[in-house]
Amino acid sequence: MSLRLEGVRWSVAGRSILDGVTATAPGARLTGLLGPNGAGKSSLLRAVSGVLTPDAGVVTLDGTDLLTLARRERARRVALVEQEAAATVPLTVSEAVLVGRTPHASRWGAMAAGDDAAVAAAIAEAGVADLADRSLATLSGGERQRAHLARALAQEPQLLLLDEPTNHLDVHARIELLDLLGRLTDRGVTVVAALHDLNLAAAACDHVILLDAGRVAAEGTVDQVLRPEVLEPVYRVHCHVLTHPVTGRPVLTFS
Amino acid sequence: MHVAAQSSARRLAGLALVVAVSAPLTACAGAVSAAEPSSSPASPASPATTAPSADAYPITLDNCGFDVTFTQAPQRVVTIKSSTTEMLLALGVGDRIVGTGFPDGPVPPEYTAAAADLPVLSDRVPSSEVVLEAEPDLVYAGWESTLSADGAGDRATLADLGVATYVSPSACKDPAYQPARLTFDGVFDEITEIAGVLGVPAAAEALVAEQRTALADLAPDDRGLTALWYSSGTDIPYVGAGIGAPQMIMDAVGLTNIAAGVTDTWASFSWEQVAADDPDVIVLVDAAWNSAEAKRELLATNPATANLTAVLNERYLVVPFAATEAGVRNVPAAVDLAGQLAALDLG
Amino acid sequence: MTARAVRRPVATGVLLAVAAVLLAVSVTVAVTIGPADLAPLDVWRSVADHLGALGGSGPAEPALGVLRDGIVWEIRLPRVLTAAAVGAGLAVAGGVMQGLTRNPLADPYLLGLSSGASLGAVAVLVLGVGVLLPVAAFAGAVVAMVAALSLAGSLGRLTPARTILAGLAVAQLCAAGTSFVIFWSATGDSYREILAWLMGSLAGADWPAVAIAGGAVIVLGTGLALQGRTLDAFAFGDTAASALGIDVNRTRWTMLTVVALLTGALVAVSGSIGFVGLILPHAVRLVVGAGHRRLLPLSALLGATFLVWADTAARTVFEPRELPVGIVTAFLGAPVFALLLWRRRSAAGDLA
Repeated sequence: MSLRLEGVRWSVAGRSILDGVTATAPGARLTGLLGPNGAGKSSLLRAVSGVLTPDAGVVTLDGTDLLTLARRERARRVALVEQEAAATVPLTVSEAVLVGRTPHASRWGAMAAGDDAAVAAAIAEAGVADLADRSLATLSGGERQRAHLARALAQEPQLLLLDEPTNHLDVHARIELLDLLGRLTDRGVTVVAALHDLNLAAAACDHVILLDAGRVAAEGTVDQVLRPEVLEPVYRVHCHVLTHPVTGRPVLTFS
Repeated sequence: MHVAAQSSARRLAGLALVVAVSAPLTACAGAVSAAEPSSSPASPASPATTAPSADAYPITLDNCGFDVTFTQAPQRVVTIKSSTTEMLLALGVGDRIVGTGFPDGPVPPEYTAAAADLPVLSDRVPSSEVVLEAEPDLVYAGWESTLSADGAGDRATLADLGVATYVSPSACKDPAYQPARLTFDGVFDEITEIAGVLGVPAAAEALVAEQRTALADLAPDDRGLTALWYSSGTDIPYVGAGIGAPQMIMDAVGLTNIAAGVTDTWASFSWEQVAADDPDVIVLVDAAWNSAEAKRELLATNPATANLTAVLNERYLVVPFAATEAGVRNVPAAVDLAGQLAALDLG
Repeated sequence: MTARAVRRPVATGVLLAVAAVLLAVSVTVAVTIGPADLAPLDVWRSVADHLGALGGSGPAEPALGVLRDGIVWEIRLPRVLTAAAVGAGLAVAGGVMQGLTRNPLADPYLLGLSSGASLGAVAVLVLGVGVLLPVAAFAGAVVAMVAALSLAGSLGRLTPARTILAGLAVAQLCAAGTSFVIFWSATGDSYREILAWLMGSLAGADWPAVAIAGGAVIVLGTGLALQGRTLDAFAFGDTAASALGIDVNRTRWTMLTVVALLTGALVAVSGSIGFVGLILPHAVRLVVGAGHRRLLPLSALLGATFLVWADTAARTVFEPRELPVGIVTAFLGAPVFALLLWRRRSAAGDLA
């Protein structure tokens, strides 16, 4: 289920946010979407998930044109976890996760056959089973993030988009999240995560897309993209790359 | 929050209406001022002289809690509401009227000619500028609420400008000046008092005597009939209740008011209670803005009232609105209603 | 299935059934209460006779006598049924508005509906053509809705904030117009009618009123109550709702319009009864949580019951005088809500 983007453009109020993005996120892999603030990462994720409509370009998931797909259909395949997850939602975790089944609901909102099972599975997978009856408003930032993730998983997506998912998570939770994403890709879900932590991307991603000012500055494996000569013009800081003694993955330091 | 502000704006409008409604409502309280604590030389107790004499003045009155002093008979009078206009016409001093405001309807036929040339200051309460432009020395108001700063003028302010103000005592808002029950004696006291102020006690004496005679000749109906005094209102009827002019008139005519138990001059009632009481007769108040005909129509078409005995048999009595305020028209109205009642076929 | 992650404390069906029974009992009892002294059995027999007549067996001579029978069938029963319909409709409309705008202070009149309806009603009352009142009120509400939605829509996408602000602007304008009409042309008599209308009153509810309010609630209200899942999605924000496959803009427009039409119909029949649409959904949330699939139907049933009792109080507490029911809803509802809030202190944070 690879995600292909070709020439995606979007501008708002005269300002160009996405300026011809062409990239591929390989199927059943974790792709990191990197770039400095304002590069267009969030906007790109929104364009793929259908929240905003690009002015031009093609977006296909495993050959299916997402842009021409009906909203519900798209939502059955693509799930988005936002950066700033709403904190004031007055629902319990179970109810919130059930909302993730909306794209699969019938016209009149009746419960579909697989709803309960999907919700249970999503809750288990995201590790929020012990929070199931708690109200979202009473959760910590990290717990809420996981609840929203569970909601996205309940959609049973083929493509999971995450916008800065590690913001509210402590070290332990981050590792757990990455483990979870790894399990998802093992199951065949394509995951694209916008990340600001380059070391995290270095440690976890199979594929990396580097955005700069609405354009793809570089794309490839972690070794190909996370190099000083690629990163420095984009992030405008000095960068040193080491190699992790155990995993062999790059480790970055900045100055 | 914005939405709360919207709700509170709505509530504010409602509150404003409560204030606006309660003012004329309490003014409508057909009340006669308690015998003035400071008796005037022209009080009903003393026999009136045949002509106004100089030593009748100065007259000091406690009118609805406001002290007014008259050093001479007012010659330029602005009247507000029909009751006061007609009072002057009935006392024969209509030529002193320099302006009228807020009429309730046309004057009775006997005064039409005299009233034809009266300058009308406003269809509603005239503003104080307009009132002062007419250069009155007395503003005679039928409702106390009309004498306010945004109405015809604040009483103290007008007094400072040399303009005396006088409110129909039956319309005083202050509970201390409202009577427990309006009576014809109270109405006659009013006539006598204002006539004293105007320097025409003889005219009052004649008028009161005439009305007392008419009242005495009026034999109240003795069949024990019940009645509803229907003033206005569609979903919620507004009716004459226990202590005002409607009750007074119904007592004289010999009708038992089904709303007599409500201690108010007029009050909101309920159609269910009316249906439960099924009055023998319905008195319809005829006003230009709410005619007796319209009320008849309403009663006949409303399924809740269509089966009332009085409606099915069209047992209606009609009384003009202006006659329901305390004043010179109360007795004629009572006489007229008695006549209508006698003519009704109650078989 | 082993691990039931979705555990509801009390099954929805049970709650709805209990609420429905409560409503039915309330209607049955309320119709026997009133200033006229009628025995409950007589009342029920009268209703049964009429219902039997409807079935085509021909109207028999009413046992109570035409007039007292009329009290039951022409005054009390339509009034109680209208109260139930209006209460249900306002509660659902309020819940939907709160969900659509994500604002706990939203109520059915948000789009300036009650102000627009008031303007129409007041104009008609002052002109003396009271018979056109429902039409004028409904027209006023619709015009206000169109104005508010156009204003909100002209600013760009229809966001909750814009909706609220546009509604506020329209409401203020209509309120100014209403005040102007009142002070310019109202006489003492029409003040009273206007006040009763502004406060909200069910006096004079007749069978056509039952048809209008009931029809609106059944058709429009049911449609809204079925949108529970959509509203739950809206709770997560426009972006999340959009990502869940909902056409946010179109759904919002559609639902706002339906709420406005429903509220317009209710206001046309009963004036602007406050409190029900704002507080009932909150009260229900405190007890069963904010999931809209339960909240909306339950709010409808409890709103109906609430208004039936509020109206019963309005017409009996000061008998034979009648209060406009809007006064009673405010007096009854505020302390009840305060009590609920206090009892569920720990849950109250959910309402933020």
